[in-house]
Amino acid sequence: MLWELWIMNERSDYETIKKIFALMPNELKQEIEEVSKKKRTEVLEYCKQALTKGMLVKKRETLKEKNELISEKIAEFEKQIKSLKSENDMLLNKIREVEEDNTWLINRTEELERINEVLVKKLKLRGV
Amino acid sequence: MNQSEFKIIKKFFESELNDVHLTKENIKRFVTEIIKAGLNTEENEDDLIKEISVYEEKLKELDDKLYETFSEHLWQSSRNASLRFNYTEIYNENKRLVLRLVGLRSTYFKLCELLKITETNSEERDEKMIEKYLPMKE
Repeated sequence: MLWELWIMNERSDYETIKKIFALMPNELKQEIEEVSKKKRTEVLEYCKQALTKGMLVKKRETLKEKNELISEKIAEFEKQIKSLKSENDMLLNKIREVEEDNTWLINRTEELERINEVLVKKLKLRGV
Repeated sequence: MNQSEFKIIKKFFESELNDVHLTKENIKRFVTEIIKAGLNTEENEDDLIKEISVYEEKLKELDDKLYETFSEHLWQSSRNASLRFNYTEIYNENKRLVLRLVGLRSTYFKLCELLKITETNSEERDEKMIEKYLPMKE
């Protein structure tokens, strides 16, 4: 972020501040000039301090917003995880149930196959 | 502000504000916003820096927590997809087995009829399985 760059690089050269100062609306320029009693170096120093503090305030705001956004995202994920966990538990129970049915069905069809084979033999013996 | 001055300022701001279309107007707005924020705060630099450190520390914790929850979410989602797939596979196999069961039962009843013997091998669970895997609406 810009304010981080400003703080990290300690951009204190008056040339940059002069240019930034020039960009300010007249009302704001006057406010700064009045406070610093119109001495050029004091104006620029005051402007620099205001910029640095402004950058810090902005950085704090950005960090606060970022933290809030991440917290919201975490809460959203946690909610979805809770719902997924409960759905997965339900699916596991359903799988257990169909697996049990599957074993029973395999045994039952094998049993009926054997019974039918016996009955077919009986039928053949009777000559039907 | 002349053209070269504007270029210097633009370069200064552009390095970190890539997504902003840097016109004179929005640089002005941005500078004004920063200066006003600086003028309007009664807090001193040290307090602001301390507070920022706290937020930065919290941000690190939150980033780790976000990574953890995201990984957990990813794992639970893939597990969900895998469980759904397994369930469908077994359910479909059971459907095929029930169809086979219906055929075998029909043969069994026919054979009992031909042999004139009493059916003794009809299980209540057969009906339940047929109802479960081959409901009438299908």
